[in-house]
Amino acid sequence: MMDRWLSYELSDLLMFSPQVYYRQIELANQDVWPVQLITVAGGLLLIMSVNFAVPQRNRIIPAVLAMAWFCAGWGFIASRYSDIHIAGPHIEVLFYLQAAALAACAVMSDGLDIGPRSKIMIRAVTILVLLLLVAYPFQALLSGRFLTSAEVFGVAADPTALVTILIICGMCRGWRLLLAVAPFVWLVFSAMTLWSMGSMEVWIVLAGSLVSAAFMAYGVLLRPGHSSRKPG
Amino acid sequence: MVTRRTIMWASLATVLAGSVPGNLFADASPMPDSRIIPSTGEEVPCVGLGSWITFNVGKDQKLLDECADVMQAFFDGGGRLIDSSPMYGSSQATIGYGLARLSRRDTVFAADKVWTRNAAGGALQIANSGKAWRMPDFTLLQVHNLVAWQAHLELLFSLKAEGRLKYVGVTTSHGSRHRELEEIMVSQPLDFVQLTYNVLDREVEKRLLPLARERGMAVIANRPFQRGRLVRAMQRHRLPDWAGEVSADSWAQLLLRFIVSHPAVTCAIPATTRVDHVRENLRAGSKPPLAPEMRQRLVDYIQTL
Repeated sequence: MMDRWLSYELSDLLMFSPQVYYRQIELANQDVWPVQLITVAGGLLLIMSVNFAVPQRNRIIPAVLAMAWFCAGWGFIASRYSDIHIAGPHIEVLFYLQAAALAACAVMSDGLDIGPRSKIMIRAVTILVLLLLVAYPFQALLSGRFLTSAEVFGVAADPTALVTILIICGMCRGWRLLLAVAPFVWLVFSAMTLWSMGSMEVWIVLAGSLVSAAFMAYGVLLRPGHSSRKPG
Repeated sequence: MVTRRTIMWASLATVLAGSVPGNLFADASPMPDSRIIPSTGEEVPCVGLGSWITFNVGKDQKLLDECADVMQAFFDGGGRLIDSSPMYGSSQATIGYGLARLSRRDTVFAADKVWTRNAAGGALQIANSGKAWRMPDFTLLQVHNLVAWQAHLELLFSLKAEGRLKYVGVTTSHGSRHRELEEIMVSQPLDFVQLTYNVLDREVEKRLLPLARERGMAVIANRPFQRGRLVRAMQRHRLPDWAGEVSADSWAQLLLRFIVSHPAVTCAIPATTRVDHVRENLRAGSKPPLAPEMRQRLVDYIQTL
């Protein structure tokens, strides 16, 4: 069985052309507009919550992320991506489960249980999330596409997963790191797809994943301020 | 009543028609040569149309219409066999859209596949494929990549016995599972076998293609251009000096003619999203087969590149 799969190249498993893939993003953007304004505003709320002692930030952050995963699951994966990929319905379930897990976290009394973090970590997470919210959509232009196919947090899957994994790995500890599993699964899947399509965005996805892994390692190994819990 | 004037105009029209260069119209709409399906003697054009990736366009109306344009050019150029699979995303539905828009359900040689590990799920999958194609029955159904082939072949042969299916086949691709395919070809009364064959993937020449001839099975060659990689790689090089001798003016034509010139091959199924490419493929199929020594020269030439 294994040798059968090894006889395929990665590109042989690609089911659609880059043109069709980015066209689905464009159509998803048209379908849900102006939801993008709400999801990006939610993303900015994430940055505020990471940087300041916003009341209930332990619950606000997972709530915003849950909304983003639900919107991306419904607006892009279910409505468009499932039409062109046979694994689409399974990925849709992954997105809804992640949204449910984040929503469950948001209703827990201690939510994400974000403790004090080093300034370096907070700045790093802030800058990267800000770039993903504001700059990432414009890389469509760098790839020779129109802004109508811009990938926006809370609609497109990649920026949604990248923002989530960076925040979870940078700000959370303990079992809450499990909330990084679904974004990681999607990012691996997406990296393979983008690589097969010859898309330069694969490097952003890989870099984001590696930085998240470094954040997690930093938190797990050095555990700065881990013992001093502070109400959210 | 036939008058002298009628005769004069008719004569003038005949002279004018005769003065048009003979290959002007021939080049505009070349019909691909036909090959005989051994199990029935029915003829099918030697160039078909694949749908892997190219027709998987989702519900995008713009791309659906572009695919329908490709199908129109294919049918207008004399093509008939279109191949798809439930594994190809929305490709089946795209074909169904095109057939409905073009009213070509009577023309198409509808080749699809059954592809599920659930042996009992074959019938439901075929029914769903039929809904996607918007056709009640298929011309040819194949067990895709030999998945659960025993159970699925039993189902397909029963459909054939009921008169709901004309041909039964099995497929493989990427040069895999050839030994198992050979065993099936020996033990089962298949009408068709589909496999990967092109100027670089020629392992099937040793055993499977001769076996298909021996067993009276039609052969569909998939991945004729290795998903376009082969053409892109060859286009960096000039055509062989002798290409003119065989009336080949592009690599795509030469590569396709290499495949359909093999005496065991019934049809090749290049996939494309472009009308000009589908026309070029059909034009390749309309030219005389390459002689065995020319096919060997092509292999030798490509090995030097």
